Amino acid sequence: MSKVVVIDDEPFILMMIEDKLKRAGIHVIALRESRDALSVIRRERPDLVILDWMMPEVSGIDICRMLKADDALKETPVVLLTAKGQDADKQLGLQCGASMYITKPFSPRALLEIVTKVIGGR
Amino acid sequence: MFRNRLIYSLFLTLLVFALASILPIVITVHKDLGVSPEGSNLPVVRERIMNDFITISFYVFVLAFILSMFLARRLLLPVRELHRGAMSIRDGKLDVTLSPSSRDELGEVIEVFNEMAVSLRGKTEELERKNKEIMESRDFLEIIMDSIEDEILIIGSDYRVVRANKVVFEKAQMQMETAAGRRGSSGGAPSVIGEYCHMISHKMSRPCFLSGEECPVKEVFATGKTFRAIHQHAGIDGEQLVHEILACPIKDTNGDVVNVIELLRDVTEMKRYEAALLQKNRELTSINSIAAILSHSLDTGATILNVVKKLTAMLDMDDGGIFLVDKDRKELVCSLTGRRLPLGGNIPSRAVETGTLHTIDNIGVEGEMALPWGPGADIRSCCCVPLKGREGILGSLYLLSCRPRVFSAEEKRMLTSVGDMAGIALENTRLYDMINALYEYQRSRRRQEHDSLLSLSSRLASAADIKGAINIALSLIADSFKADVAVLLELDGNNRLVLRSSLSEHEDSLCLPNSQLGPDSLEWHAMEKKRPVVFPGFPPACPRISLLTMSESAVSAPIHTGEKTLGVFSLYFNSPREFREEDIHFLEITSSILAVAIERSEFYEKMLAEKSLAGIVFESISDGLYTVDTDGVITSVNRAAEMILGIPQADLSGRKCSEVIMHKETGGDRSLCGTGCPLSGALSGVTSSREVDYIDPSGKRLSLSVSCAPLINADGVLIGAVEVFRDITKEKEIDRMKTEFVTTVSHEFRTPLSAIIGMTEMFIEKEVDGDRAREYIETILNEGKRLSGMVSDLLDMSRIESGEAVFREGKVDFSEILDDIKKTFSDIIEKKDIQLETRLAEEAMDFRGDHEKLKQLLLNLVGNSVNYSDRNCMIVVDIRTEGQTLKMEVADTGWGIPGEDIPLLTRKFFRGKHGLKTKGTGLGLSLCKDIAALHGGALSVKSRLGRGTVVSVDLPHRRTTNIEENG
Repeated sequence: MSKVVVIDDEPFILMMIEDKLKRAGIHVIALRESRDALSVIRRERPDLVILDWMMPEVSGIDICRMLKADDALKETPVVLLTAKGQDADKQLGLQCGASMYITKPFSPRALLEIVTKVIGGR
Repeated sequence: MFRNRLIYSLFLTLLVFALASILPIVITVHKDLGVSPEGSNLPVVRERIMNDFITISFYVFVLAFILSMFLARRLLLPVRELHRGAMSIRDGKLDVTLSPSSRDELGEVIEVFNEMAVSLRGKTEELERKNKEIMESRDFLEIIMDSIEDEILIIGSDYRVVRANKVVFEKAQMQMETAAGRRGSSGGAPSVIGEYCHMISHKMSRPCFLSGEECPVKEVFATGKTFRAIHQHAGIDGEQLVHEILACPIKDTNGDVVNVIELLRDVTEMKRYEAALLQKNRELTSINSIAAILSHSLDTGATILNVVKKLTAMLDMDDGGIFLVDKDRKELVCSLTGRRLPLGGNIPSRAVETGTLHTIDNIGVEGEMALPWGPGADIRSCCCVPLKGREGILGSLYLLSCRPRVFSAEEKRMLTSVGDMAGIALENTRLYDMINALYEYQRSRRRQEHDSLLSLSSRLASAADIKGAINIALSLIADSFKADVAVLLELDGNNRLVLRSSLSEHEDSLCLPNSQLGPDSLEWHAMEKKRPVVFPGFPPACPRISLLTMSESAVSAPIHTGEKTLGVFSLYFNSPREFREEDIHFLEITSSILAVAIERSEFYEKMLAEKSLAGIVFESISDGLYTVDTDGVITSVNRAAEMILGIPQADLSGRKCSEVIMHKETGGDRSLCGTGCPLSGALSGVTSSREVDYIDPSGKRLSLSVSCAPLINADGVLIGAVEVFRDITKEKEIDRMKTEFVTTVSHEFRTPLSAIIGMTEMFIEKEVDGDRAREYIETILNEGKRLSGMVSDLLDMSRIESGEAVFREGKVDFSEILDDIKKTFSDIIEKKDIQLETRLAEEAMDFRGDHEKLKQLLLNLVGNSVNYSDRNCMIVVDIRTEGQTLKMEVADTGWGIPGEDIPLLTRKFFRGKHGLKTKGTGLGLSLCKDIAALHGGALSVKSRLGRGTVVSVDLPHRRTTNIEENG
């Protein structure tokens, strides 16, 4: 069973993603506190990490950078799910090591397809 | 030695004598005593001795004498030899040599004698040789003396001639012969030697020093030094000769003067020549000094006076003067006294008439001549010198003396020369005066013309309107020519002459029928000929003066530029007037200036009209505009530029744009003329545009759209550049807002939309049900509301900014607002352990304002404090009054704001440093500021990064009155 860590400070986003992925048989670990993200990921060793960018304590892009800098975690694919829709933002996100960049508002179905594809591609 | 020999001889003689005396006695005694040895026969012996002794003694004596003689002779031999030698020398036989007979002192004396004799012989020979030489030199000296042509005398201390050379003898001989000839007797040999020197040299019976002359012989004897003198002596024929005398001492071995050698050289000819030279020199000096006087001054009176004075002094005359010829009246005029003489009959006139020098040495003796000076003058001699010029005799110079005076040939020559010189000088002076007068006339005329032209030019240059310029020009020309009437006629489009301007004392007398300005008028002629035309004179056929029939004379000058004739101007005179060449020339210049002025004035008027239009446009356009010259100095600047730049026009004009205008471009300050400056590009001929940031003197930041273009004149020469700029700050702000709206607001809208779209999609796909479905629907609703709230915020702000906002004034219930705040943020406060403290002062309770808007304000501020802080943060909301101000303060111990973000906080959509990790629209503080402004107040932010932030809102306190509350 695949394992996905989702980090977003908006509870309804977490709820929505959790519901969608669980129904597809994916084990979802949802986190609202970005400061705990790295330790959870280390512990859980997920197949995929879905990150919001704009979070109060540690931003999603920083978590992504830290993951990619960690030898043990750098292979873990990251999907950035953010409201920042500028091309420059997207480029920055991909440069930081994100496998996919999804802008809000998003379709839970499309997200699931992407998650399935990324996990399947590993 | 000699003494020893003498002693020895005496001793020898004594010994012989003793032996000769004693020996017979001894022999006798011995013999007698031997015969009778027993008996003594002593008496016999004694007797015998006595008998024999006498005989023996005699013999002994004889023997001793002989011996003595012999010895004496030997001793005397050298003495005799010396005697012989001395005798020989006495007799002059110096060639004597004595033989030394002994080696004693006498022998030495003989040797010395011999040496002496040799030495004497040598000296004698030397003396003889010297004597011979002296004799020879004496002969040579005599030869020399005789060969010298000058007289040479050797004089002894008694002033008598000791020796003399041949010349002296010859002269004495000649003199004697002459004297003898006169007397008729024959002369013998002349006596020179032994005569007194003055007899020989001076031919005088008494010494020269007695007649006061310096006697060279006496001087030399007295001083022992060479003496030189010049004496005058009488010649053979009684003529005066000049002798140069050189007297030298002849000294003996003690240095005493024993003789004087006197040389007399005849320098009569030389002296005569020198005197002649001196005379010539004097003459030349006089002439030179007079020439100097003549050439020194151009003042006739002073020159004549000086010449007369000089001549009077030089020739030792008593008076003098000059008569000048007055040709018109046939008289002579004294230039000093002004006295007049009829020409003819008197000496000055004769000098003038004949052109030769006239002198009278002694008036009384030579007979009365026609003297112009009258009998009272007591004149005894005079001279009159003609003053010869190149073109005739100008007068005569006279000199007078009260004594008879003989004028020497030299003086006459000099006077004639002076006369010639003075004549020419006088002529030159007159010529100079004439030229000077002419020059002065020309100069004053030139100055007058120059002044007129200058004044004309300057007035024309300063006059803006044509009419004014022409009137000024006409009046100046009329003044300059003293014309009675001046008119200017212009050629109109129909080729007719139209009166443009006139200047006359009698304006009414000007009649101007066009028919009179026909082709035969003066004006038409002037225009056709393209040069000034004068009446009367030209054209001969011209029957009348065009305008004024009563005028006696007139001149008309055409006004034309190149081939184009603009008109003509005329001057009319009521009296006959002569026009000289320079008058015509002046008129031509004047007409040229007038032509240029008329053309320029027309052009100026046209230009003025154009310029005024350009000026209006320049000042009216809303864009800022200024021009610079090639050095970047601002030459003109319009009002809009002043407004935009915030710098007064006066401060901009004439200054370098780089000094007064600084454009702040992205990346740092840059002067207008620095690298990339659009104006510097324009000054190198390139047109360019760009946007630049500008900070005006008050610190206001503006965005300007700048366009620069080079200014190129009609000749294609770059004369500067023009910069046009527009304030695009507002447009830029709108642009920025658009961009920020897209990036920030759209981003903030995306999150609630995610809920609405995503959850709705899951509903449609029936993936949620039951409680979950309800939770989903609530979320969709909340997020929809959040979206709506954001839209409301935007609209509110838009309304406030556009002035459409409704200010709902009423009592503001701050306690209710504070309660609402606590409720709103209760969850997050609890979650983040935030300490929220609210303080509300009594005085704030009666504040009037828009309750809802102030609530929104405080919610925004507290919301910011909550969002931009960590756990355990402290937030204090303090509402109080300070004087007439209501103060609302929200302070927190949150993250704080970087200093550079603080000024930008109230800009719409600005998010700042913390915007990266927090959500928000960037509208909150902007809206707060607008709400504060709506209440007539202001919002200020103080913050330190890492420490916290205090946001203060100061509002003017508007109290609730009872009436309002009741109403």
